[in-house]
Amino acid sequence: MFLQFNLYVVLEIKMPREIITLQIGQCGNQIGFEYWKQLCQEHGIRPDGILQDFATDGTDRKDVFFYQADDDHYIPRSVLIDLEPRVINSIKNSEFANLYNPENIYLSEHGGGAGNNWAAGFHSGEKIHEELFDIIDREADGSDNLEGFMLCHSTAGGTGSGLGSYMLEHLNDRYPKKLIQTYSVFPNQDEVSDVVVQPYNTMLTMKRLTLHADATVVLDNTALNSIATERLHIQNPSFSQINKMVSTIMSASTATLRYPGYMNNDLIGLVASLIPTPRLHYLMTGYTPLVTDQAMASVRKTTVLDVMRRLLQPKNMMVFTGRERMNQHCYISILNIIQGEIDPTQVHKSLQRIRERKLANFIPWGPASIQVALSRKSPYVSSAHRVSGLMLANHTSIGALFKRAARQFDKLRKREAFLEQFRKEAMFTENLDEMDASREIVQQLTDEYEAAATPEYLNWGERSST
Amino acid sequence: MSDEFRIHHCANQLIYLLKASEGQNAAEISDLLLKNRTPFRTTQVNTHTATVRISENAAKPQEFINKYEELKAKNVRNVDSLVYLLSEIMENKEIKDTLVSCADDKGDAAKLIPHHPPGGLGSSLVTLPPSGSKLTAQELIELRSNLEKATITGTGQLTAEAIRKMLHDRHQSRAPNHVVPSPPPWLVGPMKRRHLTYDFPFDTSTQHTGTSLGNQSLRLQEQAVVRDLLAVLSGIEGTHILVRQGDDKYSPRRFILEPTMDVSLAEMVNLVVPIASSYSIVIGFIEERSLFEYGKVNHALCSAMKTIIREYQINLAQLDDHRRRGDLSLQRLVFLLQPVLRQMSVLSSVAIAVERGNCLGGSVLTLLHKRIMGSVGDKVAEQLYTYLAQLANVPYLEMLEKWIYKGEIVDYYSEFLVEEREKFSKDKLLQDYNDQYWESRYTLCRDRIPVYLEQMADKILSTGKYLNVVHECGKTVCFPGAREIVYSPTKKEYVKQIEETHSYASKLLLDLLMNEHNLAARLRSVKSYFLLNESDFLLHFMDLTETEMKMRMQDIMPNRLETLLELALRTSTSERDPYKDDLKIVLLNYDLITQLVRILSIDTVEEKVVKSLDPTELSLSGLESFALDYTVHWPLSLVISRKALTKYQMLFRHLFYCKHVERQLRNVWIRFKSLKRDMAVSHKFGKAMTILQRMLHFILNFEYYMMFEVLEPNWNTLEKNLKTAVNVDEVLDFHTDFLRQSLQDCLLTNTDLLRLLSKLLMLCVAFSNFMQSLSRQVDGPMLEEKLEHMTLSGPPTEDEKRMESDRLLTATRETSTHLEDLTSSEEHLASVSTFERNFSTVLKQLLQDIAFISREQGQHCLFNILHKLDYNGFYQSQIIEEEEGTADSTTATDLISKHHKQPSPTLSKQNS
Ligand SMILES: Nc1nc2c(ncn2[C@@H]2O[C@H](COP(=O)(O)OP(=O)(O)OP(=O)(O)O)[C@@H](O)[C@H]2O)c(=O)[nH]1
Ligand SMILES: [Mg+2]
Repeated sequence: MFLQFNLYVVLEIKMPREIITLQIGQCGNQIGFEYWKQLCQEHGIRPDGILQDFATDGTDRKDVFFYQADDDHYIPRSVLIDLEPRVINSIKNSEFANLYNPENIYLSEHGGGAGNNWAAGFHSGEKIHEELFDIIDREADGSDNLEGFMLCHSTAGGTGSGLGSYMLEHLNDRYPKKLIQTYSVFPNQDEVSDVVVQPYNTMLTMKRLTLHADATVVLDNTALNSIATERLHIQNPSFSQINKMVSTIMSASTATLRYPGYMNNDLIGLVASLIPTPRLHYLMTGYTPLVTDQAMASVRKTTVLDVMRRLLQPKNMMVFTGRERMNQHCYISILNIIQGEIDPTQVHKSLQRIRERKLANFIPWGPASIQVALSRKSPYVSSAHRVSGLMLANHTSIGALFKRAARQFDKLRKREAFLEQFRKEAMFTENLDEMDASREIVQQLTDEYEAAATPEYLNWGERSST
Repeated sequence: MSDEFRIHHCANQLIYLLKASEGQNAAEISDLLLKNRTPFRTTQVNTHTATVRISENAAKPQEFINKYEELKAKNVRNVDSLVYLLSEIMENKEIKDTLVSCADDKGDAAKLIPHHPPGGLGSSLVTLPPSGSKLTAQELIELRSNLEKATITGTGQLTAEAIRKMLHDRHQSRAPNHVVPSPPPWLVGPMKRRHLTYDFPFDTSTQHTGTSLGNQSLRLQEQAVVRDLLAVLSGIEGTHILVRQGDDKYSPRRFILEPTMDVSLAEMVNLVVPIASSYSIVIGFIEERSLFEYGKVNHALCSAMKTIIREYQINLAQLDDHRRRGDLSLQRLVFLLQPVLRQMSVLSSVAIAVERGNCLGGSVLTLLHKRIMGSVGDKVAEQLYTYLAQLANVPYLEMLEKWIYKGEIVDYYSEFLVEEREKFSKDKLLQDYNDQYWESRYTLCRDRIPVYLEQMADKILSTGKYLNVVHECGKTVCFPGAREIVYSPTKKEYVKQIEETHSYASKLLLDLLMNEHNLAARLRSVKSYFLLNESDFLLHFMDLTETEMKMRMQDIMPNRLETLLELALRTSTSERDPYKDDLKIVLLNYDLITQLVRILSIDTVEEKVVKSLDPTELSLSGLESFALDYTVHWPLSLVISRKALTKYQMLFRHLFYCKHVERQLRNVWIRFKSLKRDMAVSHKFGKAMTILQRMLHFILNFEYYMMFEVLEPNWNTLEKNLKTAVNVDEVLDFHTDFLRQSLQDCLLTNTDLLRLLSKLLMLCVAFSNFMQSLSRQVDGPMLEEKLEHMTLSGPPTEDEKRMESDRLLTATRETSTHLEDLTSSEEHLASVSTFERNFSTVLKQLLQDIAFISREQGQHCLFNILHKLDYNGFYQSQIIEEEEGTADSTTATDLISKHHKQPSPTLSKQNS
């Protein structure tokens, strides 16, 4: 009797491991937009959500990121949130207007955003909590075996960082067993900052990322810009050009979930091996070949070794770690997702070569290696490249990014500059403790990354806590 | 493998018989033998020198020569190589002395002769298993009793009656519902009517009549003698020439002439009577060998002989006519009979040879063929032999035609070179692991092969086998180029014909398997399930069966698992597989390790050890007993047989278990991911987290190794090879190779590595159970349930959510203090470091063993594991460090038993 009942329940369940995407703020929505555009292309889904005729018998899995409406068109499992209407309205006016579920869009029609104020973004989260979680719970309800959330945002503005932070805290409480992965855009350091208070925003967001996100893919506008100008030869790259690169990375990093093979068919499988201790979950990315590297492709065939070797070059990393002394840093873990028709023995040979030439420096306190996930490519997107690769790496030099953020924060904090807007919000009316607490967390993180480059890391915790 | 087995067996026997000293080990000897094998080539020269050498040294040379000739006549294979071996032993004083002393020791040299009596060797009654098959215990017993039987019957001359009886019995037992006519008693046996034969009645009591010939004139004498002679020539005893049988039915007849006969006449008579002797032998042969039991070839031979005899009788009638007209002098008769003399002696020599060799079927043909070859220059003999051979070959070649053109065997008399064994039925292919349909259903009987087909035998066998399969698929087989096969001693037309048919049949069956039954697609489908190359279905399945896998095997409802599997298949990419309905599940009552160890030890000394392991006494969990199965239909079951499926199953269970371990570790990761919120607590767990990371690293890389460095490349090779295969035997070989190589490279064929590996996996499971129990103490059972509930049946209700977050807020706070207590406790720290120590000890042991094996045995693929598991040389540097100091050696078993609530391969049992 009991078993039968159970059976009934289970029969109701279909078992994809769904992932819900949350895109918050201008940046989050803009990269999200590019991402969905890319996914639609790869799966042969038209901008209105209908499957292209040529794609009806694909062997891909669309149900991880899409669900099908009653009329069979595909709808992204995505929630679009902004405190100002501009960006989302432009999505609504694009050809992808009908792709998204209109009920999954939250925007304050007449809002002016969070005005680059983290605290404003965070507190507006409290106000619209019910509305947001109604949407999210409904999406979660609609999925059968939710694996986790993917959050897209920037750390520098107000909405993406502030409201994003709020969402991180509450998602984590409400769905403690689900994974939260973020794609976090860090501000461009080279430009004279368009947002003066971004060091504050970044610092406050970093705390939440550290404590509440399970994996953070760091997208550094600094590096993205320089790659666009130097490698792709684009003068003054636009956001949409940069977001193309971002969406390439995002889609490659989810390729094994959408094109299942022997291994890495779920998010946890990708993430768990990359992140040895819960806090060290900041991942750098690299991708090759980028679109306009085609000149190179015409010279000779890209081999797996070419791809893997290029992925190890710092200039291909989408994080700018400055002149950090690289030889003191090392990889904690690497996952290369290689796409294309690949003979696994080539991978093996490449790994061997890399090992012999010592092209990658690994942690001294545990086994570490270049994990490789082989994935199919979308048959509907033509590419000049036979093989392409994405690297997700946990590298101790990421600490440089945090140090840089901390330096800028300290500079402002010392002068107590630009704090008026913050003091207006509840969190900071009485004191600025939250600022310093965040700074402290980031310091711990930086220290931990620094320690992770040394053999003593195994005893690091014990020493520092006594 | 089977060769190895036979050699091992022989070596064992040898040691036993020679009572060799304990130091000798059958395994070593057979190894040595296997390594030093060279095929023996018979040449006229070396056999000749060998026989000469032996007979020179023999106590009774003539007996040896006779025996040798007899065996040769019986067409026993390997006589020459045996003789050669004997002569070599003779040359080697040391061996000879040892053997002699051995014989003395035992006091009975006769016992030295193994259970193969010389008589039994030749008699085709004892069917030795074909080389290529392995003896099962049952067969061994059968063989033994057969041999013993043969020994008993083989001693002493076999009488014709005895042989006939045995042949007859054999037919009866071969086809029980096929009534074999037995000759009426008046034809054979003691009651036989003596005059119902063309042969002499051989009455020893006859006497010369009283009227003495010597009293008559020479003319009259001559007339009487001619008349008598003509009678004797046609098998009727004369008045003046009496006939006696001689030693036996096949020795020359004796003729007793009336003593008073004129000497010159008597001399001439003596020139002619050998014809009568031959005639008598031939007639005896014909009458005997026309009986049912002797088979078609003998029948055909007899009928050919009969034709000649008929002509001979017509000749005699004509001569008698001349005699009556009075113009046949004895002189003329002798002159006219000269050519007949030669012919009859040729015929009788054939009869004698066939009889002496007790030749049946193929060996008759061999004999005739050899005769033809040996009679170059002798026109009369050559023509006669050829004539006989051509006719005798007809029924045999008809069988051959049926076999190679249709794949059928119609062979009531067991003459054909291919034997069908019905006990190997195609239905058993799917049930029985040891079934050897393909190898054993049809086998070659070496001693039935006519010598001139020797080269073609294997091709003949496979041609028919291929067609037979096509036939069994319900298709009519018709070789368009089918022509009558004609025997010819010189023109090798039949070789071409057989070649053609062979390639036709190969292609036909290959096309059938490849195109009509889509073998490649089938294999791909099997691969995608058993080797997990589209493992999203498995992921879902594991999600769905979380509870089942923990249950005891007896409590699991297989139907439910079946439903869940179907569900998982339907929601995964496997949905598109047209064969997905053929996938099934089974719950086996032994776990993988037991299964493997059992299989591995079949051919080794460990067999006894394993037999003592009774799998039924263990209560297995779902996880251990679960395996996939696959429905395969004929003729694909030829390739995907139970044996192959079992190997796929073993690979699957291995991969499945690894996936399970990976899953357990990831669950720990998820459980402890919230550690990051509290620095202090997270530090406490720092060490545990690094162990988790090491275990994850190990399992992921090992999986990667198996999937991408073993299975995938091996699979690619297989696919490439399948495209080049020209016949099914090659397909089978490629497929078997693929499975063997894959099992080997996945460490499933080496018991030592396997033990280490499964110990590592168990440590991983034990560790994750340990960690889960820690976190359970932290969260409390309530929360645990709640969380389970959430993952299984979607998001919680409003109420639940509120309660949940309330509790979580307090829980985290409580947790941190609680956890602190826990983690600082001595026990925790001790356990964690024991886990660490054990894990790295075993892992390093594994790495070292693998390094050793891949170096020593040249299994280079294994070397890749080293690169995978220790890419950054972390363990290597530890190993080097340890080589100076001494490693700690706490056993892993106590930890495992302590934290191993969730069952997994029961290795600890075998270790202890
Ligand atoms: N790569 C990339 N970065 C962007 C994009 N849009 C904005 N940014 C970066 O994001 C930061 C500004 O944050 P926004 O996302 O514009 O701010 P918001 O989240 O909308 O917050 P408010 O506008 O203050 O309400 C700056 O560092 C920009 O460089 C984009 O489309 N791509
Ligand atoms: Mg904005």
